[in-house]
Amino acid sequence: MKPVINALLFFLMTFDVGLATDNDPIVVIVHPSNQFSDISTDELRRAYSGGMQRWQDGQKLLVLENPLEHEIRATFHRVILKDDPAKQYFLPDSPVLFMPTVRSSSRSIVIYCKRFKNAIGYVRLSEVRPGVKILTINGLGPDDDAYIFE
Amino acid sequence: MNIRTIQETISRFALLKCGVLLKRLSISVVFILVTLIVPSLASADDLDNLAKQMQSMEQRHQREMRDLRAQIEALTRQQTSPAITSTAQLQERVSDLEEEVEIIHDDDAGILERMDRAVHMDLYASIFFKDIEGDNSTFDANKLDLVLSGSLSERLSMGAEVEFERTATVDPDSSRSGDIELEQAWLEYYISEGFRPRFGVVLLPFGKFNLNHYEPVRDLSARPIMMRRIIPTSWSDVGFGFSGSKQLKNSFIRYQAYVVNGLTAELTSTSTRSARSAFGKDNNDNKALVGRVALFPDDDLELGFSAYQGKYDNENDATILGLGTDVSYSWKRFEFLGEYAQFDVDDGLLADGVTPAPDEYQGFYLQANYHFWPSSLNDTFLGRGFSNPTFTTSLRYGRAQVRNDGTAAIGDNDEDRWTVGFNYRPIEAYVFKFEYLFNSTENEALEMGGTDGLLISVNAAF
Repeated sequence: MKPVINALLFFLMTFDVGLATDNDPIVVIVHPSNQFSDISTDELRRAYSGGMQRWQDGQKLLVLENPLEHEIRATFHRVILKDDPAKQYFLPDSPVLFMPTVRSSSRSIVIYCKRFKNAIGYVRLSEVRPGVKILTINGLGPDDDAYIFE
Repeated sequence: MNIRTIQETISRFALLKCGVLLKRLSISVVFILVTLIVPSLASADDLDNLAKQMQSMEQRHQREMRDLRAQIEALTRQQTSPAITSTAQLQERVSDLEEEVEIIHDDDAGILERMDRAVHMDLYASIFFKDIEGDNSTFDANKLDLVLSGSLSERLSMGAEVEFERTATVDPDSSRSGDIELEQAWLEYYISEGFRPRFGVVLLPFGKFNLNHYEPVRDLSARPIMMRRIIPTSWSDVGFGFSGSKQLKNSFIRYQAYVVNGLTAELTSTSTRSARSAFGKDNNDNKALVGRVALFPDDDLELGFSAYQGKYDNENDATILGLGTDVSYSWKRFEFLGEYAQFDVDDGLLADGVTPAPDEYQGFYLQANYHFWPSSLNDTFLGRGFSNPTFTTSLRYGRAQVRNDGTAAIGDNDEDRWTVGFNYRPIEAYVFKFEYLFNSTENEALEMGGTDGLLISVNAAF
């Protein structure tokens, strides 16, 4: 009987972990005063590869990046940049490498987005705290079935 | 928590001290018994060893006691700092901490702002080894470029690039003298993302290669022939204009356009290179217009269209009209690049006032790159410590032609080149390149004539 119960518990634990990951999609966050509420995947790709250096209202972009070894960075880069998370990019028409501001944790990214009006970052939905705004991506939010990180 | 820790530490200290005393006592008793009962069995060496062991134990125990005393003192010091005993004190403490965090945040923001306003200096360097047929093999300190950029405010910025090319000395009479060239020096006044006026010395937006000619960025060291003889890369001129970008419904565009002094009558039968304008002098009253539009229909494709028009002769009569197109496309690990340019030259005289100008300059190149990395090399010296090392193999064909070159030589001047290359990038901005060039030519040589050769280079941007 005991092995059966153990197997059942193991199954439930696995199921639970799976649910937690599926229901915790990546979201793009900015300062609440940011006038934009949506960003396209093209704009995200350009922002995270150095091709977009300002918001459309002219403010310089502060691009916040997760550490290389974090799983969230691998997922984000695979989906948005379609490339290795370690890949570096040159600024457009320049020999200078694009250097995003790497923060050590999602919490730090949230704090930066809360403090800096020109910041953009990405974290898991469960890590979002009051004081930041979630941008929809291509018009879709994390609750939508067709959301890019679902 | 502190009191409990102190108590525990004191208990441990007391126990240890008792233990030490007991150990010392027992060892002494054993020692006395041994020396009294069996003196004949113990040699002098044994006794020495025993004494040393005792000494060592004593020292160890003294060390441990010193450490424990230090811990007790540290904990006592902590305990003497003001304890929080009420909600009011707690609130005060939280308020103090909030203030400290605010100060740290201000410092942080200040550092970011200062970094943003500071003049940034990057540099890139290229060192070559050339072994070309008919010439001595040579190590070549090809270039060192300083790339400067800065912002005076959110909307006022500048950029500059100074190149030292084979410059051992600036003495013009020395055989070791090289060039120091200003490739860019501009000021930008940002109005909107779609309209960013720029003034000064700019890289002319004619073809993608001229705008992005930097060695660490490219996968082959040798430039395509057309990029030296048809489009005179690095082609910069002084003037004003604007750059901008715009997100359209299904694509993204970048554009640049400038009014500049323009090409001069120093055209030759093999190149436009020497017709690049001086930065403070124009050979005629005409100003040239140059511009490029780049269209990005999707993530992996860039299509560029360029145009140039200006009078080149001293009499201000004859026009050069240039048209160009370029493409870059990525598909999985492959990358395809290509560019075509043509300059139609109106009848006119060159700078000597006698020689007629060539009719046309034209050229193109096509290049394929394949990027890869065998994971089996991750733990070798090639991969260890690098997060994304890459190998690239490249194949390029390029051709350049000067038609009716105006000299007595019969026929058009034509040169083409196959280039096969391989490079290794431990990181994106540091690259070792190896390539072989196969050249052939008709009539006057444009670049290397018919000589083949090996080119090895190390390029890096910092």
